[in-house]
Amino acid sequence: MHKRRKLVAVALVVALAALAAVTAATAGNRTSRIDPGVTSDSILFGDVIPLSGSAAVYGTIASAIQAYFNWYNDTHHGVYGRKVQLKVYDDAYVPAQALQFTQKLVEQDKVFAMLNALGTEPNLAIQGYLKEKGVPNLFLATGASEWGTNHAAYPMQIGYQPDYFSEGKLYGQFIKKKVPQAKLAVFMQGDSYGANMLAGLKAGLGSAASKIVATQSYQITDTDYSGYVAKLKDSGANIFMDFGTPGPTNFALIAAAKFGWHPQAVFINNVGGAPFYFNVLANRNGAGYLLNGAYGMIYFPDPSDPKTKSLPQYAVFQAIMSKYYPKGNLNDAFNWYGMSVADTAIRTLIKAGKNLSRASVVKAADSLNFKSRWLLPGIRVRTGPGHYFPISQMQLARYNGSSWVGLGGLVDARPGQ
Amino acid sequence: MALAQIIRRLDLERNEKAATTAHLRLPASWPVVFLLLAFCVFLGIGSLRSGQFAQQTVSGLATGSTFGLLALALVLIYRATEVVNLAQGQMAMFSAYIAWQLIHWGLPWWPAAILTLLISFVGGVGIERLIIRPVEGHSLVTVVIVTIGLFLVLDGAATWIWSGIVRYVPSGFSTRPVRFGGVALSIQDLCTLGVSIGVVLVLWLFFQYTKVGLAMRAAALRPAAARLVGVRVGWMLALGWGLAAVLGAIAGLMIVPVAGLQPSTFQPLLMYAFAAAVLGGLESPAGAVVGGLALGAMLNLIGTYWSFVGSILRLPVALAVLLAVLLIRPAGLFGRGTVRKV
Amino acid sequence: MSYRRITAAGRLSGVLAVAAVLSVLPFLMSDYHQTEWAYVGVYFIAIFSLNILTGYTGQVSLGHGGFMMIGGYTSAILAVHHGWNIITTIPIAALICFGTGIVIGIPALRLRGILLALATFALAVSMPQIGLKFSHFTGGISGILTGYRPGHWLYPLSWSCAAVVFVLGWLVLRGRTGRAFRAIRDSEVAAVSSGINLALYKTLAFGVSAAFAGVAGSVFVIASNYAEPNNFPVTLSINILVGAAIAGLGSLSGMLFGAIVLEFIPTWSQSAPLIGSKQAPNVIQGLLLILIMLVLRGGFAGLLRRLGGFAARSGASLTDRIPDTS
Repeated sequence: MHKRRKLVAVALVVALAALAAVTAATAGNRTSRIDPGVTSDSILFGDVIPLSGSAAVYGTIASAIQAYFNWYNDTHHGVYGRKVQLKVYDDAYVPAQALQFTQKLVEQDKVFAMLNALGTEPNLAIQGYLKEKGVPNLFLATGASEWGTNHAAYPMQIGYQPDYFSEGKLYGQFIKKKVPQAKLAVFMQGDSYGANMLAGLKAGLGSAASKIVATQSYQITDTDYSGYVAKLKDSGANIFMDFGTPGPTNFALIAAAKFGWHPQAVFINNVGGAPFYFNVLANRNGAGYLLNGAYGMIYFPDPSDPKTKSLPQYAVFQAIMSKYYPKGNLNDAFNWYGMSVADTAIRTLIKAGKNLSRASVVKAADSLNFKSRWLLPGIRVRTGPGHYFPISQMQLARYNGSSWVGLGGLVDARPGQ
Repeated sequence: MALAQIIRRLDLERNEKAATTAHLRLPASWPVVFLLLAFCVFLGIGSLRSGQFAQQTVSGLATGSTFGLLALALVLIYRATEVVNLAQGQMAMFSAYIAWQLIHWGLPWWPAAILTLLISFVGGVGIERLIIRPVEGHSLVTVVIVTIGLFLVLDGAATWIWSGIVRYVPSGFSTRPVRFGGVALSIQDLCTLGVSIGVVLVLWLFFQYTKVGLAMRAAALRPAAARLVGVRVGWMLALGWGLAAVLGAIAGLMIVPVAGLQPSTFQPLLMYAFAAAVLGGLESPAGAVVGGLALGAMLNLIGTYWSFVGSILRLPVALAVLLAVLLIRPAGLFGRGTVRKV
Repeated sequence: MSYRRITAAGRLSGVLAVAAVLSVLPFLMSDYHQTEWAYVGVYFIAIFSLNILTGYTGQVSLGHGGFMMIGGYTSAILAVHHGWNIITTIPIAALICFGTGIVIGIPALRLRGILLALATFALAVSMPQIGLKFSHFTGGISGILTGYRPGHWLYPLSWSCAAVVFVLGWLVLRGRTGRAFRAIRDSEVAAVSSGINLALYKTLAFGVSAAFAGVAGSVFVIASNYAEPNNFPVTLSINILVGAAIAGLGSLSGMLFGAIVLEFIPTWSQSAPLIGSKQAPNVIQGLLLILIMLVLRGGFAGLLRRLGGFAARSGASLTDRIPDTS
């Protein structure tokens, strides 16, 4: 008995020593490199994204990016013969973890650049470090405006999607023009995501900002939204403006239906407006009437939208998912989003040329101009001097009960222009 | 019945007050009853005077009944095994995922629900025997850490198997709204409340009048003495965990239709459930439900009328209630003060 | 089994040997590993702080992440909003956390065992929300970026603080205060009847423990350049308790091991080539925890003891056991 315990104890000590040795030994690597992360046959990107915890729902984006890269490597033999890879670490949306893993990616895994790091706060945590190390931080997965506006301070960093401020502004401008008797009740997530949209809304309303008669924020830690919605309804508002993620958005709509609220108009933001969630949540709980005719914003076709399924690009999406990410959900808009990011990354690499370096990829990222089949027809991924929002075009849309239908033309909202 | 007599004597030892006031069979002391009645009167008057107040109260009670359901599981484990189960939320979550999977495979709701309850029961018993039993009697820290380990395993396993996308588990009851007097409620809300009250009644009957229930109480109160009269203490503890797992599954089934199902759904809920359980008294099932209702109503009203609190401080307010109860009256509303053991 | 008693000189040389290794280590390691080991230092301080309160005084706390948050924000606010040199903020953070610890310790006198754990857990969960609320001071959800790039002095800073905390803590624990702590842990009633002022020492334990946790929080914010609510989730408090238990509560010899586990298991479990899943880390961590608690009840310190006669004790305590706080 003693002997067995001693054996276990010795084994544990040996394991610890081995662990220490391994961590010491895995510093530095063998193959020679041009820029770190680039060899004659490979390119390595790094990503920090929540795979666990309350934000784990975003984790599938990284898997979608990897699936796209694997598909591209197989069908096109990589970019100029270099296979593109993505190394991912879970930061659980803790900025300190994001920084630690970014350091690991840069110094140990020797990645070429960061790709689609997710979250405003994690990116704030890593931007200073990446700047000092001269590592590009490409196509951030967050809609905060600063990723476009502070390009001068962080020249190797660039955002990706239409920013939240511009989206809110779009709604504000529309209401100011088209709905003069509006009284708005805003339901928003209580962090920078919601706050940015609200700021944009107010900017869009301009002198009519007083039309906002009630604002109610919710926290990630909330379990129930009925009380919040009741308060908004009691404000006498006739427009329900939603700046939330899909879950709270749907439950708020369900609560509104429960209270028999019939606002004149409902606005649902892009992230919260995924038809997948409408179908499993709001539509099944009596909130369908609120969705019918709701306004929103689209910039890429949602795979859960029946209209998307008839697009030729959907067949490509389905093929890639089934072969390279079979566990992924075909109805999850985040998977489509991930592929569009990966597609943009590949195009940027191609533009950067055969002599790939960090400088050349940043130069390419700063001068993009192409149409992407992953986005709405007519939307161009475009960057240039003074304009560092790769996707700045959006389209106002209305939900017809099963699909989002574009309203009017594409709107190019570039903050700071 | 020898066993019944022993239980009654142990019960009396534990509660001197009951011995002297044996003819008064209230679950709580007079001040508490008065306080609760006053609160009800306050809610009633406010509701009559303001439609908004009424709606917030009713919605708060509905939310509170979800707290109470999960708190019931916490209370049951604590009462049966003196363990505070930090993994209770994740156990409920895992049961909800099992239900989702069964429904996804085509089972109708009621058979899926019953099967889920059975699986949860077996799971709970298994957890107790495999994981909790070996560290029984060890320090508080060890037991707490083992429940944390359980939390991590369940959380990781659920994310692994079902990913982080939000799932929807339909309700076994209609979600049609019921409107009366300017206040709206859904049938689901009413059923959640009904189920919690029903569970409390069933538990009470179980503990008071069935042999197994008596044995469980004996095993919790005086394990040594219980063994002497032939109670299999070990299995009683396992049974406690199994039942708590069933309660957690019931909580999951009733809550998920209104909250959505993700691996992280029950984490904040667990904190509110703790506050409800402590408020009601960690050893009282009735207290768990009453505590939950009171907490839910309170939070909604405070959030509505005190703008400083808003939504940011909603959880801290609930936890402030928990702290206040612990400091002022640790036994909670329905608990009985225990004599400090030397 | 026979125990060889190690003399005080022997123990001192053991500590010095570890210190020597730690001083030499950075010169052998890459920048990234230095950063990792700097975090080990942070966790070492945090585990030590919890050990004082839970291991030596028997008050179980699940809230030390909250103290770390207070210390961290203090440093950030002083350095960024008031222009202090960030190193000078560390003692201030310690002082403020000492005060906070005392303030919390006083009502905590009424709570014992699991109720105290619950109460401290509630505090840890509330802290991030409170930080969000008072955004005027704390920067709200965006927090406060300290903008420092510590570079090569992060490791020395972290371990110097660890050394200072270790020495201070050891002095506290070996003296009369430490004996009072241990007496309280072993039996409160017996301690009272021997004339120990329960309220004074229990509160003092809270204060000292909080102060050290504040130091850990300061260094944590310096290392991560960012004081933000998401940096102090409830999992941090839980991890500190886990690390302390793995280290072995009530003893000083395992704390380095506990800190190493805390820092490296998450990163290691993500890098290890496993079943192709990204969620495996959580499951592995959980299983490991359960296993360790089942097999190694005394934590690493207990393991050292069993490995062949190390009397890994500190101070004059005759019995070194896991606190039974029920």
